[in-house]
Amino acid sequence: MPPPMLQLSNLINTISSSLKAAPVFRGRLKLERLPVEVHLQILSFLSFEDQFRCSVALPVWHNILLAHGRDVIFIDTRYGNTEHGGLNHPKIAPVVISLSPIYLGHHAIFGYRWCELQITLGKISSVTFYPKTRITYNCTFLPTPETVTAVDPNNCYIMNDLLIPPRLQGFRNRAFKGVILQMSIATYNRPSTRAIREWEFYQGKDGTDMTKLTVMGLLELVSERAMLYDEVRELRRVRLRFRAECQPLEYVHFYVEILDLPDPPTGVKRLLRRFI
Amino acid sequence: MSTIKLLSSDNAELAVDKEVAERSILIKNMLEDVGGDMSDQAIPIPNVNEAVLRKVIEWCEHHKSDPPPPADEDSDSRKKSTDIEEWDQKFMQVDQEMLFEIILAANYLDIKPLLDVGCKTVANMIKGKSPEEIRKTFNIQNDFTPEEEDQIRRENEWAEE
Repeated sequence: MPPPMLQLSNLINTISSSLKAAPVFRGRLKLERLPVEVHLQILSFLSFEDQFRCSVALPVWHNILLAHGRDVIFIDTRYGNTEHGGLNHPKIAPVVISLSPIYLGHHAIFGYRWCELQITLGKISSVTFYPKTRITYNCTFLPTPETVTAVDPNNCYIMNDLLIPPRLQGFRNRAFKGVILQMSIATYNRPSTRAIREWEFYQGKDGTDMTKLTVMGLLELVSERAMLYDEVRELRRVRLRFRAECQPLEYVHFYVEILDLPDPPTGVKRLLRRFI
Repeated sequence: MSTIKLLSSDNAELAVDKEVAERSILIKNMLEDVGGDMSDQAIPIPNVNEAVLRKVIEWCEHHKSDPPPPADEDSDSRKKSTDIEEWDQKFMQVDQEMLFEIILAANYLDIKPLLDVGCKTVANMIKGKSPEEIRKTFNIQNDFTPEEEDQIRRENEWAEE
């Protein structure tokens, strides 16, 4: 065995040579230049809402969330400790305490929020989320740039998130089996026309693993079902209000209120934010 | 108590108590690997310059008697709180570049509690801000063209009707 001193200088030489190859920062060290694992840690300390605003603010964060959005590090922020919905929401927290851990839980995006879908040729082409507090029943709302953000469903990390927190899946043999959709449809500015049209269980087709259902999967399911109704089929924009209720069962119950929307004035196109 | 020497990227030699330096898992493991005494040879820390290394050592001095962080199994259930103790808050009152340098150094030297404090500091700078405010805070170039900005503005005008 060589003397410790020799080992140390070998070690030092190895480290020095490996570090010569490491990238050298030139100029000011900026936020964007931090390594991915540091970004992940920073984002994991933020609420779901803050993460979303970060993804709009900085392309690096958008790409990181797109690639790592389903990492375990984010579970608490998606299904738990969030401002609107999630397991710690004041309205459902007592339920959680009494029923946990058989309680399923669901993605925070479906907690008390409006969601607007733009549908092109039967496909969802853009999704916009509004916080509920900013919108009233007859569609007048006070948008702020940070809260009203359209997302490209093919390029947004939230759409890939699982509907049900993976950690709780199959707990005590209570597997997530599907969603209950309770859909009602109303006409713009005439909420009195509202009528419940559907109350159904969806378990997926044979062999479909419902625990793999994503946020986008649910939106597609809803839009597909909504298109079966004449008053919705011709529309290009629908606004949905989701209210999810997790029962201590194998199902998540979604109340979906569908509202048609008038076309925006001509000459003003809704802008899809470029990197979100 | 034995001291060891650290050599920063700009060739400054800093003497540190071994106990303090061992807050860095990287250095701790390195010392264990070579099996002990190395009082006459400085350990090169080529990624970290003198000013940053001094800050990091200052933090390690203050926290040298902290209990070891909980094992990994516990960290999963730990609350994602962004509370920072008062001394650390003061410690982190530096300009942004220094803050990022400290985070990078903590990441490289594997000092997890310091990395946590740094990340929490950045997270607190983000909390509750709009994307525009976040960009302003970190001096991020807005990549919208003036036309796009104008369109966003007009879109919101319509929405406010």
